[in-house]
Amino acid sequence: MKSGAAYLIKILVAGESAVGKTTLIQRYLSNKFLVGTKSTIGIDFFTKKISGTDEIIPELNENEFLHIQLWDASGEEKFREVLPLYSAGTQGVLLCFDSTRPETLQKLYEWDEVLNSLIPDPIPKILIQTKCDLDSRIEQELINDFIRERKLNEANFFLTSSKNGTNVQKTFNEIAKTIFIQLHEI
Amino acid sequence: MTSTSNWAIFAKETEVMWHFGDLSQEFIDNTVNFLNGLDAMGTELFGSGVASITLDQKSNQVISASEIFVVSLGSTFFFIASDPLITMRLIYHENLPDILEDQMRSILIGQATNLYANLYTESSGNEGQGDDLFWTALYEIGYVKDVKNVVEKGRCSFSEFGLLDMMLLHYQLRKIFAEKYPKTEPWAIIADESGPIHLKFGKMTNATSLAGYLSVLFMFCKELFNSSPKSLVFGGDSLIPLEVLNGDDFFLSLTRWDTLFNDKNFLKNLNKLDRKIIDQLGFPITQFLAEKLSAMMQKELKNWSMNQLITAYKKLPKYLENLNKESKKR
Repeated sequence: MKSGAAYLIKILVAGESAVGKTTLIQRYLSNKFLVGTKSTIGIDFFTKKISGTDEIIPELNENEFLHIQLWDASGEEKFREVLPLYSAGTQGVLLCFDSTRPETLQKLYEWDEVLNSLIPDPIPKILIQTKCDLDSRIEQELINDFIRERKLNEANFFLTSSKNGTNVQKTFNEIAKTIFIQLHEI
Repeated sequence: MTSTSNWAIFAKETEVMWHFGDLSQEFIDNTVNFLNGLDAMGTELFGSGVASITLDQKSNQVISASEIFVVSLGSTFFFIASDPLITMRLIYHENLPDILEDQMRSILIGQATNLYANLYTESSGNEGQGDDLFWTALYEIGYVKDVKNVVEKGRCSFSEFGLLDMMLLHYQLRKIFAEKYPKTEPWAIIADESGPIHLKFGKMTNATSLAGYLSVLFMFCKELFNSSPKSLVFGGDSLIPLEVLNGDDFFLSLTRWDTLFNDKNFLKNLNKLDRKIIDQLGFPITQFLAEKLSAMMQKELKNWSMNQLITAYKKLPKYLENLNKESKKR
């Protein structure tokens, strides 16, 4: 690996409208809980720079950087048609559903199907149950079914809360680490 | 040809989703087919399709439009409008179906996001450059809130923008990017409108294909708009501006004019051309350079004080006379 190298990874954040994708990203980037976030239209774009000295990714040398691009896709179905236009080059996906709305997990089957057709190469995917500070209305069995049927890694499921910050950093660090290791191996 | 000067078409591949203005079906079909063709050829030559076409107003007095604005996203969705600044405002007063408006809006947002992301990724070490360009465009469209909420330090969100705002933002971005961030090496090509190439200079992907492409573009502009192209911008995620200077039978197409006209080899090649070509292109080149130099002067002079300008005005005739003498000596 070159000294002082900078790496770039692209992560797509997917899931139904109002599951809290933008709030999750904002918590990750600024460690703040934003209330009243407006619905995303089309796509929002965020970046985060991780340095080797941050010790988040052990494989990243001290003088190296990892630029993480986060593409926050609109959850509304009417905008799904333009999804192919942003998905090129995606190296990891965060599939988000809302603890309080079981239908958002069901809808993730469609999301995953669409994403598989757009990104044919196997890429790391993380399943995220948002708003875990609220009472869950989703049976664990349904989540296990999703993980099994969509052939996800069981370890790649996280319960998060943007309100109190539970697992937010850990989730993003995990996907960044997994993608980076894949890149490193190539 | 169309008789209306303000029109717009929104298409998904070859399917027309919506149109604005009194357009014949033939015009719509031809325009959409040609957009797809232009996109395919542009993708082959420049990596992406045509983004906007400025037409040569001098070539026809009763021209129906002076500028054609195109937004294409992923070679799938196309939005094309004549005289964009007026047409966009007219569209704003139309009752567009909500689903269409949202779709067009999301496409424009997607394109702007791609443009920003691409610029941010490429400008490593100078990340503020993209922010400055976008902020300038936002100011130009009269955005009154804090521009940093829209774009800053590798983050952008255009969700708060309506369709008209997004169209105007794209229009400004094109202008700014083409002028300040041209993603191309300097090159020039002189060809017959029917194809043969008389001069090729600089690094270009494929001169023969390019000449053929521009010839088809000439035909399209004549057929549909009764005019010739004056300048073009290709791209989506990044923008490549291209100027076209028209003679009767020949055209000169070039990028990065500022570098080219400073290049001795280019000027030497230009002077070696057949007399007939020089005669035809001499006047358009003069007009082109006069326009560019005036624009540069204007930009500079706008930063001067009133007293400086009055002094300059008094000295101008003498200065121009000397400049004229000097250039004749050369």
